Amino acid sequence: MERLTGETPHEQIPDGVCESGGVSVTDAISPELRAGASPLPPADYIGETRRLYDSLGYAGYRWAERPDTPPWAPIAKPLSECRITLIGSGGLYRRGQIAFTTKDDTSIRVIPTDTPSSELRTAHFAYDQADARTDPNCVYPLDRLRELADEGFIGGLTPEAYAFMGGIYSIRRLETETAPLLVEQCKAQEPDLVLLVPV
Amino acid sequence: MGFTSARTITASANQPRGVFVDLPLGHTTGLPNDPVGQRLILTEGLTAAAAITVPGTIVDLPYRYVDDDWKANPLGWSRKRQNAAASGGGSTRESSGDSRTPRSETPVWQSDDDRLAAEAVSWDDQCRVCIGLPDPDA
Repeated sequence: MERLTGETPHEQIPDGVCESGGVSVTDAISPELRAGASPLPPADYIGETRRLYDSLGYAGYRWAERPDTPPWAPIAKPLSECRITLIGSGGLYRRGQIAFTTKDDTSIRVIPTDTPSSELRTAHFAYDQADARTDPNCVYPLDRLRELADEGFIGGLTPEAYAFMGGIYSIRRLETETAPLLVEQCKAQEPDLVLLVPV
Repeated sequence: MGFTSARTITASANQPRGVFVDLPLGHTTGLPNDPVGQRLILTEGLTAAAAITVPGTIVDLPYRYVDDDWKANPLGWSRKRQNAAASGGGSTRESSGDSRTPRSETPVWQSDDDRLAAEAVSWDDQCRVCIGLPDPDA
């Protein structure tokens, strides 16, 4: 935990010592995952998108800016007792459901948490979906959360999880259409914790 | 709480508890077919986020992508270009995958089989699982 709270500089962590739940990054199957912080700053997607829009002659996109202190709800239980509701914005839908459109699609999809990941699909325009379509857990970690629930690391998953398509240009529509839908659905699940996985 | 691989956007939106995963877009909770790596990211991220006491905090997980070349054009990362670059050919600096093409109200199915599967389900059943869609009879 200490290293995650910034008390230990990431640069001091050699590969292979980031252990969690009995595994370390040296056990990772992907050769593309490395331990330790990148020497470069995080990608500046706001600046990158501004430059892209400028080059295409589009008006600048207005990102959500919320400078005030965000609302806060204490987590009343240890993770091992928390029932979690998963929400992903990577355009996930289940086979048999209608895919998302690319034009301010503010609808949501109910994903029962016993859905096999082999039935998950993606429909999005703003990220490369190749890896998510190979393994939905890249953007919608249902398999991993089910395993963590089985092991008692988390208390469990609510019966339903949710997904939507995050490429919605209208912040107003996101706030007045999608968000209330998600809040209403989430409340009915009575979770202890909501986990948002955006793309 | 929320994970993110777009730290500047999450910081601007200012959610209560954030976990930053420094991987290319499309890998918010890990790389494909890597359950061990995905598990590390989830367990460490959940634990760290649950320990946040100051609203708006973003915890940086100590993981990174195998190389930093993608950060030169983060909107343009793609598996195809990554594989081409890894094999010594191609460029990772092509234009963005998000080309700002005109938006459409037609569903973008992952495969035609998905469209057929959805069409086989009645609209009433769809309303159970697809919430907020426009009314087709309106």
